[in-house]
Amino acid sequence: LDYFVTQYSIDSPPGAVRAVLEDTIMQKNYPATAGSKILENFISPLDATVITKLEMAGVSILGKTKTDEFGAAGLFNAAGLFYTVECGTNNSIPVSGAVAAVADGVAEIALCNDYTGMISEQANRNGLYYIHPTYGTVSRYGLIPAVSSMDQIGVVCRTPADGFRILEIIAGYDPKDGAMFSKAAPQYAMRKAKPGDEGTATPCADGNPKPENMQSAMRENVLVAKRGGGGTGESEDEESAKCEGGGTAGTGGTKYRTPDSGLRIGIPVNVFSQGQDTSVIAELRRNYKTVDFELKYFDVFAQVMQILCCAELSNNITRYDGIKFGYRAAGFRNLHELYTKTRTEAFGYYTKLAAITGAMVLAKENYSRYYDKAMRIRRLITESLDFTAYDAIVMPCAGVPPTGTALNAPPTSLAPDSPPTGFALDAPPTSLAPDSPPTGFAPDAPPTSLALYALSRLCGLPSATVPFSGGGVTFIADRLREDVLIQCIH
Amino acid sequence: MTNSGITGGEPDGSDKASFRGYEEVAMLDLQDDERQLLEKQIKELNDAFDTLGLIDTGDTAPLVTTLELKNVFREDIAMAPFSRDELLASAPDRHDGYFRVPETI
Repeated sequence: LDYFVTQYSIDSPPGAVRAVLEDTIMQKNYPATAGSKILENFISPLDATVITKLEMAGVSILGKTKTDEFGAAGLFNAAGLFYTVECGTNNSIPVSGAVAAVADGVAEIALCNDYTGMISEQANRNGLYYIHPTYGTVSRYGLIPAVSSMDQIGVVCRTPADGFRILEIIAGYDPKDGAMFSKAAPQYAMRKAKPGDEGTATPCADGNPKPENMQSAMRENVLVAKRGGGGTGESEDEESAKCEGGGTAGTGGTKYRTPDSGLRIGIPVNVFSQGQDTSVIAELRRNYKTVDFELKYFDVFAQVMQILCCAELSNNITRYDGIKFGYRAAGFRNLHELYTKTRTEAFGYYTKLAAITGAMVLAKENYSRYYDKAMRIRRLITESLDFTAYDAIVMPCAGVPPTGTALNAPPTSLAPDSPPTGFALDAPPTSLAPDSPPTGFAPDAPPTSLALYALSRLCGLPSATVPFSGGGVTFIADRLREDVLIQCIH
Repeated sequence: MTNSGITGGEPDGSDKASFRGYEEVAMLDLQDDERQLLEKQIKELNDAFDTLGLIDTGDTAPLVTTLELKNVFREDIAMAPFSRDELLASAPDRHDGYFRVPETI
């Protein structure tokens, strides 16, 4: 299986945590393509901040993995074709290289920018976790921008303990990212099971981990929630003691503290009632204290996401003009043709769709009706949440599609004529229906992955997509309350 | 379709409120078959987007970002910029330390 766009030649020290990076994260002197021909031959002049932090912590970075072009396919509930690989654990469904590499055990974790929820969905189908941190807690310096108000680096992982440990390493204020919490430390921490042990991963005063402690902390298999402001006021010893008595879960014998008895999980009944699996709700009620509520505006989540994301993505990709870096078309007669020929030849179907949709919703005649309206609804959605009534919200995952089918595919006749130079592309699965229209556009359409993962992206909230009751759910907590997510997972 | 953001427009794209106009703004020049497919899909999106009109947003202010950002000037400390060579390294065409582009006048 070929997971990589670029695979590094490195010798991982024995026992080192192995990570892969979605090819949207830039590493100095290596290619960075975001899955697009427009960035072929682009060599990064810089290291993303997350890479610097991983390396300081002793994490082995194995390479850059295949990804959909700018993640745009996920906006249209479509499975990407050209930069996906088939995963060993579920080889009927194309997934991103990052998910496949973790699912197949090539790496323990993968860093991705999952603004659409497509990676979360793929991870869930393969029994993996995706941890999406609070917007503004992980630096995006060196991340190829897609949707700036939602871009956030998260973690695909085999156990949530791995994911939160990696977040502990990569989170923290970075002056190179202009949209971050300036002082707040993420509300999670790892502690060794035995109080007083050396090598504990403790955040510095600025919220960053102490690098010298990370490598040893990564070996530990204990994950304990650390309450933030307004929390329980427990001491570290008390936390550790609870940890030792906690239950076990995950694939690595990972221990988790049993959720607080008072933890309340909000079930958006209007979302689940549109789904198929009522056993998930029954299982939730057996395991948690639950609070039913109606998630307002859910019926337009997908539209709001599509409008905002297309607007921002179309803006962000204006930088690709064939002049400063990457691909340039041949045979142009003037500057305008250089721009248009380059972009038309290099962008894939879904990026073009997003670019034109973005131009439409931002146009003077549509701005108020679409873009401005979507931003106002985004505020209504954010303000409709009441984290005094529940500690976390649970959302269903989209579920596994019928074997051998992709969600949607661009017409095969429009596939780029030739793959980007140097890329090993897999042939698209032959079972894909080439003319399938996108789903999720009609108001009465069933919940789609875009809508199901939209809440945390629209509101900047942390979320964890986890295997649950034969399928999966996503827990969403209030801003900077990753500690609540940790308590939800048990 | 009613109340759509897409109008018929002129075949030469002179009407900016047409698919061809948006295509031009996106700096694309599609082949006919691709244009046909994308136009169909965007009209479907348009119809779906029009459902937002059913929601009364009153005087709710737009939410641009979930962070309450305010302008902060960084410390006035010189930082090492990228060198000219580094910035030109990935340019598809360059000459004497500059990006090379077609004649503009």
